[in-house]
Amino acid sequence: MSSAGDTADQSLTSTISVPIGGFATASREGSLRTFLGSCVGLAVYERRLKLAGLAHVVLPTAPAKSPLPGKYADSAVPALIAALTSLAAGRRLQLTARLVGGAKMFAFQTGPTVGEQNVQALEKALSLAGIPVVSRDCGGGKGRRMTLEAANGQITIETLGSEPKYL
Amino acid sequence: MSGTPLNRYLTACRSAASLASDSLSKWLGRPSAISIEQVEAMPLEKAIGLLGDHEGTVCGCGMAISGSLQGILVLLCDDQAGLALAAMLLGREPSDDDTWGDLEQSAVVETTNIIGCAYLNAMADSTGADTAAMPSPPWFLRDFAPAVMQSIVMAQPLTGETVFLTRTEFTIEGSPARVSLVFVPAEDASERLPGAPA
Amino acid sequence: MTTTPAPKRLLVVDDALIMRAMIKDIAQQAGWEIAGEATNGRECLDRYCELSPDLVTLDIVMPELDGVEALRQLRQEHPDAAVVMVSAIDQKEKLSECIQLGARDFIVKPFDRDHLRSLFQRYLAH
Repeated sequence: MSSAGDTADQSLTSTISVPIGGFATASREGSLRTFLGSCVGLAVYERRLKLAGLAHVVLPTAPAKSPLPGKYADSAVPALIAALTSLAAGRRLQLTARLVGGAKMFAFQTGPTVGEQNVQALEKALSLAGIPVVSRDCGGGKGRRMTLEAANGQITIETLGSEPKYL
Repeated sequence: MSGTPLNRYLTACRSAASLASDSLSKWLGRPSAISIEQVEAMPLEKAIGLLGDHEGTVCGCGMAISGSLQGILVLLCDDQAGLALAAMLLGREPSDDDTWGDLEQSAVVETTNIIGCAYLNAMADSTGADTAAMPSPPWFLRDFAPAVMQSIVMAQPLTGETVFLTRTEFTIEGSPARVSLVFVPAEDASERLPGAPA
Repeated sequence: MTTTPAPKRLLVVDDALIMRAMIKDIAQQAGWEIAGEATNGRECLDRYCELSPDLVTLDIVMPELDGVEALRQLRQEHPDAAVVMVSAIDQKEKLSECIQLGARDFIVKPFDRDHLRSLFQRYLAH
């Protein structure tokens, strides 16, 4: 089953598209998908319970109140933890995280990009939450289509002109 | 920006878009017209979703702008339109067999140069500035549409939750091709936009 | 016995592939033979020496060595070099400089294809 911050989906095998600034969870056979340019996909997974969460992070730091907690690195982490905790229904969670995206697609961009800032902010927020980052596919100059499978935690990363990569 | 300054900026944008359309017509050797004109401040999410739910590929050719006008200017088109540009410039009809190569990429880049410079010159003239708006060399990319839009909107430092952008879409006579020009002013340069209070 | 005069030969200099393709296409339609191409001012000088073309089209903004400086050096080494400058609409001052350096003519991008074809036909007859 998959569910998103904005919409609910009752299908067991559905793929939920996570919008910009959004987050969603999936369990068992569901999957979560999003497109990433400079934004960063935060994937959080619970292997024993087959619970997956994906946030599409746009900016590092949330303002005081935001209707889109998935949009900011520092609010996306607690938002996903809360959503997965709810799905776990009292069972203990052992979460791991993976980060994807943060590309710099225009060569004329100078200085630290928002993608790099998002990755740093996510690493800090995950560290504070005690969630290890076990792998990442960040940076570079190309967009990515990212799909996270709840059944086995596999992340498929597709880029134009290249073979898919798996995390 | 609102009220009188916004109206002045709208006037400047319309004039620039009209000159860009004239340049495009001359460049392609066939009439072009403006089909969409959009000038507004919008939340980041809406700006990134400017191309709708389109998840296919788009071509973008971007230039960083400095001098009297600052920001990023990008030409956007889908694969069909991008491939059609090279065919039109070489005086032949587009074919389903056309594929992306150096010539097709060069066609998009040079189109960006030509209509982008026409647009920028008109916008810079509207500021009454002594210095010109200077574009960087154009940078071509072809990628997933949502990824391209993220990179356009987030290409420069942002402190707020909204982005002010201008989008003009051009149609080309005798072709289904549509080409968009998107200008995202730098957040800290908005006081230098045409129409901004002196 | 009549002999057909050798076709006049053009060297096309521009860093943009599509511009070179367009100019070559129009020149050939007007009866010119393409002697060669160059992508910057330095290549232009080298190719001019190799090819001795009858006419050069020379873009102003190019990497390595721009069109104005290439024109200056070309005309110093080859005072008879016939050059048509290709400029963007906001380069009036550089165009004036090029005319003073001895450029024969100029076209402004985006150019009218018929206008460029007429220009090539005119220089074919010279």
